[in-house]
Amino acid sequence: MYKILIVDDNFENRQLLAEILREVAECDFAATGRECVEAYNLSLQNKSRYNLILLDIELPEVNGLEILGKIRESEKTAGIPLGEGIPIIIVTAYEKRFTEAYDKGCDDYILKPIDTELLLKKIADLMEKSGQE
Amino acid sequence: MDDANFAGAAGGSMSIDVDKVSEELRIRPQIYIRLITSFASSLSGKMKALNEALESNDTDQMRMILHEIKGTAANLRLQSLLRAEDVMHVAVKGGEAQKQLYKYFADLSAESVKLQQYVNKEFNPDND
Repeated sequence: MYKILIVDDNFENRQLLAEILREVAECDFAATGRECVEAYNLSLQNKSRYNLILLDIELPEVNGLEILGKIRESEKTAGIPLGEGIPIIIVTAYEKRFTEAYDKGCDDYILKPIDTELLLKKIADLMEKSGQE
Repeated sequence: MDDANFAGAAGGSMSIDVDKVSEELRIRPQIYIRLITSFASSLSGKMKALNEALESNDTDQMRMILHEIKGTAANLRLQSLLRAEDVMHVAVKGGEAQKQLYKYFADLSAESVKLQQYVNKEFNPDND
């Protein structure tokens, strides 16, 4: 089982993703950008890293793209080359922000409404690419 | 995703094909029911906040609330709610007059109430 952090401010969206992933992953949840950073940092401290983060853009306090930038910046500071950090898939209803998301360092981008088959394929592909199969 | 998942254009009756949507999403039907029940019960709060944003003509707030409704309604395949949301969302983004937005808000409210009534009747019969 993978360990995945689902970041979305909407309860139903978080639960839906966890249910879709129930056979492949154990999921933790964050409802705000701050909670995401806390969960991510805690996982590093506990040496129980996430295999993947599913990150919404529209979040209270700090938006998902800023969080993405912060995570990539901290990886860069830790000497982790771009492309070798934690895989992050942006999950959003915004159709036009993918360029910005890729510029900030996301690995993939999926639009709501969630296509289950596509989401599972993207996760499998990323896990294979990052050697986490 | 197709309209057959959620029949119920404005003014029409509503039905949700729980098995079909659950199969499409590959989730358990009881979880889908739990999710739409939860979403439906949260809608009155969202519509109240949207009304307040509309009254104060706060476009950013309206867009944020509509965006949230859009994401969840789309994920749960709630097509008629999604259509009403889209009409208002496009109008807000396009800078349409407040008077016109009230009309779209009324349509969206009607869809929201219809969903809540349907969920109460079908999935929470004790609350009907």
